[in-house]
Amino acid sequence: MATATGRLVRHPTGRVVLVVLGVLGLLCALAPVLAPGGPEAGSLSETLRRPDARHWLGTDELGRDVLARLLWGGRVSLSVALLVTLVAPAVGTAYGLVAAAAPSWAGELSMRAVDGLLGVPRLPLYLVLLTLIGPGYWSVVVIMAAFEWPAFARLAYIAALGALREPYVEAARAQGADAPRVLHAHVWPGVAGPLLVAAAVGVRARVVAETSLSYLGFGIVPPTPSWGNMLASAQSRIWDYPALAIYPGVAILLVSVAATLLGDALRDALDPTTAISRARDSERNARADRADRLAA
Amino acid sequence: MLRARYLLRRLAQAVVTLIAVTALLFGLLHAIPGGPLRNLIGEAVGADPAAAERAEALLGLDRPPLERYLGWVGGLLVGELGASWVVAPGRPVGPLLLTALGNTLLLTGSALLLALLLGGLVGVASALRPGSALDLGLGLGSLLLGGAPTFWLGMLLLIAFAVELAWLPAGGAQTIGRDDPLDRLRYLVLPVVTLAAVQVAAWGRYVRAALLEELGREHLRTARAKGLSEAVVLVRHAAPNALAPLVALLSLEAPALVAGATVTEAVFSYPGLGRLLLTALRAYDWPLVQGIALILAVAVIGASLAAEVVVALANPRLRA
Repeated sequence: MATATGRLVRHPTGRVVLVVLGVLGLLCALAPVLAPGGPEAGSLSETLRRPDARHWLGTDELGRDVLARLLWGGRVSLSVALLVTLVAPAVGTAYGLVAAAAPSWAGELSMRAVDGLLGVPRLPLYLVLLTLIGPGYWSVVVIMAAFEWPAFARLAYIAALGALREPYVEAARAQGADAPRVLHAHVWPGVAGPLLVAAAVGVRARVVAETSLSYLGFGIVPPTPSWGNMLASAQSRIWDYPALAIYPGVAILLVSVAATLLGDALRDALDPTTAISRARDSERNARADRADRLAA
Repeated sequence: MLRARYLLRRLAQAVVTLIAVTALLFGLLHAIPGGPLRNLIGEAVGADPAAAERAEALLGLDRPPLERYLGWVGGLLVGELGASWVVAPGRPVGPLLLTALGNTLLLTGSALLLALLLGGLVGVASALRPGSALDLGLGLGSLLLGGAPTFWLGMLLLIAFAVELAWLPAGGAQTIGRDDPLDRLRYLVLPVVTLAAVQVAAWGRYVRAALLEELGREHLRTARAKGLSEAVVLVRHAAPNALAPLVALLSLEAPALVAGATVTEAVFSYPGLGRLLLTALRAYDWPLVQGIALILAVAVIGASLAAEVVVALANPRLRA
């Protein structure tokens, strides 16, 4: 693992995106220090100001500093993505590993449930559930985590099944190792890498999902700022001040592109032999996954 | 024979799934604490139990859940989806859904067609010249377009073409009082381009990968050795194999076609199924929400069935 970290830091794009994500995350985390007035501070006598020395990115329709809101909104948007990225893979991996170690009929049955969850169109489902339990920060985190884990369960299940068939795992079993020991010592090292990559690549989808929900008014709702609901209010001003619609979008774009590249770099760092044919491999894996879902 | 039995079994499974979905939908929307009317009547009427009871009796909500569920499903069988509560009070949900579904299919169908066409062209071109400027452009384009949220892309197009240049209308489906195809086309351009832009890069990358893999196969070397021209090799020998999985993938896209336009429809106030869902949810119009969810469920189940059939027909080993 230490060597993989080293390879990630030395990876040409890996190093850059780590710095970009780190700086962005730090700026947003430090919002209370950098913009102590909070996201709501503003004056109605200073609405829709162009950028100047006092307001680096200008002010919005309620006279609030756009840069300050961008930082506070980033705190919300990034922490939602981070929380889901921590919870969903953990739950899904545990589920998938247990299902793989269980008797095959039980494993297949529990994977049927996962496949059912995977087939549901995500956004309409989120919208209905958020209407039922009400919008807000924790609603978004809980609902997104609740429907993100099946993808990891499936990934962990397939990877673990593959590993369980390896001769060295059979040897360990023959020597009397029990299921938890086999999973921990022999299966986990083989599945950790792909799961880590999938978790990183999925950050893009999570940021986009949260901001979309907030844009539509079902996710993070004002007065709490999120990059998504900032864009929703910016849309009402596109006729007189379209610049407001630029900044939060660029922030989202920056994070999602960086997360995608980080996933690629992670894949290279974890398995340097595939670096050359990486692009083709990822396409093939995506296709194999689809085919799996068809055949299941 | 085997094939027919396989298809029948799959069809039966789809029907069972659909029945389960209707039960789930009904249960979910009626398991809301305080009943489905809670958000609708709000605090004012909620404080007056008599009024709340009258409203429930009017809507038939005082009957036992099983009776209501069977009534709803029975209605579905004869094409009755119930009446809207708020969005179009008292009017049947079915026609509302059909109009919206038609608009959505027009939007998403055109976008998919455009994306496939452009994505196919770009994919083939970059597969034939890996490492070329076009190939690198495809990689960069898919990174940027894949990273930008759809609604933001739509807003940028809106700012460029509706606000700054004023070439195209900013929202809706047609000019009020006008009903000619040319007018509707003007309203379609921006939403279709938005939806297609997100997909072009993905399809392009997919076609590129499938074709690159195919181009390395040995039967192509044989075809070339026979003296066939590169164009014939590509069209007759490489393309059919690369296309087969594409068709199965395409049939899996159907739910996305029906559901995926929600955000785009919201940006451009386009009167499709997604926007109707948002309107219905904001108004707590549960019969309408149920109807839309049901259409989505049918699309999902139908699409996976279609994909399986395609795969089964193409691959005899999967029949058993």
